[in-house]
Amino acid sequence: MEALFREALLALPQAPLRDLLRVGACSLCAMRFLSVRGRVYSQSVPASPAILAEIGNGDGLESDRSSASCCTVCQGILQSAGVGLAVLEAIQKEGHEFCDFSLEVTVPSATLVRERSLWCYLRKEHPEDFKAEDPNECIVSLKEAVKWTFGPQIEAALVKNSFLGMGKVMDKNSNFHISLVFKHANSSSEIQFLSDLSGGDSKRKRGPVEAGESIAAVQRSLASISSDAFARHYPCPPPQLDTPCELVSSCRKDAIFVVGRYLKYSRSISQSPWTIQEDRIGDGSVQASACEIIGDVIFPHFKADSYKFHAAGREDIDVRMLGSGRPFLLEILNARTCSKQEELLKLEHAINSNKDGWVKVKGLKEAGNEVWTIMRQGEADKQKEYTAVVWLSRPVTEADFTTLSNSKELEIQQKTPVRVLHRRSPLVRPRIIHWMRCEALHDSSCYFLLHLCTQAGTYVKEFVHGDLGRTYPNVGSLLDCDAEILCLDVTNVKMDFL
Amino acid sequence: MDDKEEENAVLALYPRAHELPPRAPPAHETNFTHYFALDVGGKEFHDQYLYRHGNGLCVVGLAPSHLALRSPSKIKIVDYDVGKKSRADMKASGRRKKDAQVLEENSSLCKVSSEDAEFLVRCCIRGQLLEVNERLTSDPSLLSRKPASQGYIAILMPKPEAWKKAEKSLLTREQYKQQRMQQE
Repeated sequence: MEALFREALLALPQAPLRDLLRVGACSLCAMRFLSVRGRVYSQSVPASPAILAEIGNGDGLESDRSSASCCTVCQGILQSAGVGLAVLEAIQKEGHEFCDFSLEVTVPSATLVRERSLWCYLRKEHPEDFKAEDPNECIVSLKEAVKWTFGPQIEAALVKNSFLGMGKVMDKNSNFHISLVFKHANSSSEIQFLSDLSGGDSKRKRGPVEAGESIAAVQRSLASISSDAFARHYPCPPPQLDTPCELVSSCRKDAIFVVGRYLKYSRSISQSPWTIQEDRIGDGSVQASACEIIGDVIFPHFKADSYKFHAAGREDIDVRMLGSGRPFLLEILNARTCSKQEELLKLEHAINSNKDGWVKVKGLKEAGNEVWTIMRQGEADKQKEYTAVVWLSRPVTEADFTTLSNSKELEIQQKTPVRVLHRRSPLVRPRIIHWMRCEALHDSSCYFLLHLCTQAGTYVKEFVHGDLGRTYPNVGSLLDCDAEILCLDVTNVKMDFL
Repeated sequence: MDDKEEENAVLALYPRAHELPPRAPPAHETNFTHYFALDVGGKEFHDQYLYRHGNGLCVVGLAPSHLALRSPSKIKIVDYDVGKKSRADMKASGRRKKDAQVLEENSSLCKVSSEDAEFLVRCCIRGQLLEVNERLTSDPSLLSRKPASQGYIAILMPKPEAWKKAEKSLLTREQYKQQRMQQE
């Protein structure tokens, strides 16, 4: 027997330990019920009869189940063999790369019922050692024991197969999750009596889902009934089992984020695919959107399940995104590959050398979850700079330029533009035009270039043409003539970090 | 992205001479399809326009051939207080346009009074009334000065079926020009 294990066992109160083993709890469940914690679970474990031989079988109790193969409490979970191998297979099938992992455990809810049953038995037999009504506060939970038991095994298997280097590899903050789901065929029938019981005193109609497999629901039900009531409906100690739980192992990676800025040089490519009920609309049907041009290069690299494109605001299809570019983030779900910065540079180069050249990216890098907040913030309260080609119904004068450039921090009232009124609330939104700067165009007397910086959320086209006078003041009203916008470019989206 | 490309991006801001039409198309022409209804309510030259946006919304106003715009007498009052409730009172709210009045094709939108005549302006399409042009109440002259843009009468949101029905009776811009040019 392992020295550590033997030491731990001998330190335990012998009478309850003997009883635990004799009613069919495995040696690890026995330790759980006696509040043993820590590394000792991962030691190689002697079978119950061997331990009983060591500590003495006491008076020959007639119903000795210690030689039964399947633990009556954990339903054989802690006795499982080959967990490391099962995990290894799951990872190899998916082809994941990772540098650490966290372990997630799901156990059948019947194990809770069996714990309670054993607890009731122990309270009766050893009232000194087991006082509380509810075992949950005293015993080591099965999930925790599973992690102590199999965590080191999995670590060893992964290191051996060179998935991982040595060092701290099991980390609950890891973005790679290995999940162990233990299922038992009889679990739902074993807990059926609970939903029958609670069905009586609760008017709320309980669906089979809550009464069924939800651990939390079973925990609530168990907490609400007394030990006596429990003992009337379920045998104590728990009955024997023929078959152990089955293990299904799987793994997944948290979403990773690739951030950067994109530029769009075309007036016929939209930022993201424009769909109405699955049907693609407009030019998007023939031409890939910026989102797809970028995603099509980055996504395959990560061998992921799917990706989502998020940008800090959007421009119309006929508006180019120049200058600084617009910050975006690519949320990549369940990526198999871990990327390195130099690989991202290669991807950036691949996008930028696309022969069409309508969409370019810069500053690609991987980022953490916090980029969400930065992006949403930037969408809401950062300044945007634009350049518009503006036409006036009369020749442009130097005085016009002075009028516009002297309007600093100009507050305008913008009614929801007609073009979006079908889907947005009819409201008047105050917006700030921070500054304007004009530049003459030598080819024409009625046109000029208007550079302007606005508060996020300003509809710039409407500020120029006035939208039936619904945005006021507007360029036309400021200059006392008609103004029209020929085309528009975004030149700067201010945002720190990205 | 190298410096050369950045430089090109700056140059891209400047339109080429051939890209500048002598006159920029007005927003209400590029963003809307223009339709017309002649002799609305059976009254001669009570001509109205209906500008339909790609999103289905319709802007209603007086066509250039409307009697009120052709007569030399000034428009003095635009009054939305027609029907049971003033058209200006019931305001649509929220994305779902809660509380919007649903008006019929022949429902009146407002009464336009000049020095010597009165004209009823009608919807020409069944739909929710999203907005009336309150600037006309304080400045009725806008109606004669800018009938096609700032002098619009109202914005309606018809259901697709209502649009299909209305479309049959409306004239396109070409048809309108032909009809009204011939008569003049």
